[in-house]
Amino acid sequence: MDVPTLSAVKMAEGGEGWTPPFSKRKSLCVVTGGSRGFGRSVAVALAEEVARGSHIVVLGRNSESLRDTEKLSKAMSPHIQITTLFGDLSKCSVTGSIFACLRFQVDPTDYDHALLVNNAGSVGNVSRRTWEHGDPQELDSYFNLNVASAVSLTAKFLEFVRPGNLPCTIVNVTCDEAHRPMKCHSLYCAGKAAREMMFRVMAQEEPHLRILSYNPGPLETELKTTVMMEAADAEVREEIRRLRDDNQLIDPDVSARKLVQLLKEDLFKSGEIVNFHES
Amino acid sequence: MASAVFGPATFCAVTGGSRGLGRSIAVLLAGRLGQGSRLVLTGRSLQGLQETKRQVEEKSPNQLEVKLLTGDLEDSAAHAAHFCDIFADAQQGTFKNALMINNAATLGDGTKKASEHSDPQILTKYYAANLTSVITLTSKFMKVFPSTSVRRTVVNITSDSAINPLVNHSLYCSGKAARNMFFKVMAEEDPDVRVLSYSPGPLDTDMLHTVRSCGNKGVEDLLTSMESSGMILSPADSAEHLLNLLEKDTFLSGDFLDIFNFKY
Repeated sequence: MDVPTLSAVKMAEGGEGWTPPFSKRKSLCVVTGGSRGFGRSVAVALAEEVARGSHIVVLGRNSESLRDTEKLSKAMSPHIQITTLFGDLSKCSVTGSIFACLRFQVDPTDYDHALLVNNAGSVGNVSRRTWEHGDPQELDSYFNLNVASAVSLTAKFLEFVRPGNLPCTIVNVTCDEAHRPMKCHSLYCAGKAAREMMFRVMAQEEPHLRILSYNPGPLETELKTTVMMEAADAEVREEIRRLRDDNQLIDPDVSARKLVQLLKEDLFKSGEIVNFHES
Repeated sequence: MASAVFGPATFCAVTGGSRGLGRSIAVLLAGRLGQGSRLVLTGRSLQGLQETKRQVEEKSPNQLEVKLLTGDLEDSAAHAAHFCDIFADAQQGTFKNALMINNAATLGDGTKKASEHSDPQILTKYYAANLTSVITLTSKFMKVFPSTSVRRTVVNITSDSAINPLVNHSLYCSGKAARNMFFKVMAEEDPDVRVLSYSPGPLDTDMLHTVRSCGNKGVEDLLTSMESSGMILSPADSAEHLLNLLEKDTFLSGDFLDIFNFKY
């Protein structure tokens, strides 16, 4: 059973240590990988819940798809600001330029809470076996996107919001493969394991931060379709096909709403991993 | 006494062989590798490698061929050439066994907390040295020694930190966690390769002293108390335990074992 956080303990509203509920907090939210899939669902689910005056910044690699995310999010609430930023996190220089850009548009002191959702990621080339990953540049690019960018983005985000002295929540989108070895997924497993560990260390080092590794469950997104079509191992392809045929793939919107619910309740233990399937 | 794993005609590469555990492994291998074997040692310090070679040659009864290669694993662009050199002249048919020991590692900046790692270039270099290099090197190893002719063993030198977070060492912990999963997948994908992740325990090496001086009092105190309870081990003892595990060859491929035979 989780230990309730300070915010969950019954305290008089406005008393010391009390944090206002999500719906009353003007949140500055950044979501990566928001052009499609789970990232888009998270942006939309946040738009539905955050208080008036909040600001959601969505990062992605596809400008057209980002505009769709923006439209869907704006449709949820006319009282919040949505900003989209184009950037390829597999390139080192991008994390710096994101905040250089935001500095002109966002003043952290305008908000009561800061949230970063590290969702951007890729599954890697699933047609390759472990020993077929021989190109160092491809690997650097993979780990830049899937590990390094999440780390440096988090560090820069915390630096960026510091002047506002805001309570911060950091989400790491993870998956079963961080612990469960899966054929054809050597890079994905490695990257997710690295991230989970990184955020566990961060949670130990920074008790004032709220850090959640969220496992959204097997989602019905393009990522899964890619694996189903391209994985080198027939068993792997079959497993996804079976999940799909048995309706076990989860609607990313449903999973995103669950994530937002967890953030609202704020009962998770910092650094822990929570799965969609947990009640 | 010929061993199935280290017997005659064994090719063995050990990264990070210029000091610490890498050196201890090399020296112990010298006494076990059979006739016609080759030991390739890589590292950043030529001087360190040469001293390791000297100790190896002292121990080796079989005129073991020892090759030294310096290289900086942080530079991905240099990996291809460096790894080609490691396996140069390892033609088909020359070797019956091939053993790859991925030991080289760096700690990253221990004065920085995870939330302070804002420079993506430092992160890229870190993962290049501790993760990417291991993947591409193992890939090259598998290409040079295809399964049909050679018995292959791949060792991932890991750490308790792959499983248990250690403050001020987020890069080290995350790199080790990544390697652990990578090698588990490898073991699943190719049952013909023997894959072992070995955690050597807290060793009396330069690396441990660096961890100790990271500036975090909790870490310092932990290591001090381990030292006073005699829990800090000699790299030679740990290397011996590793070689015994390999020789016994009863581990499950993909296993993560430590010096106390604890299975993670």
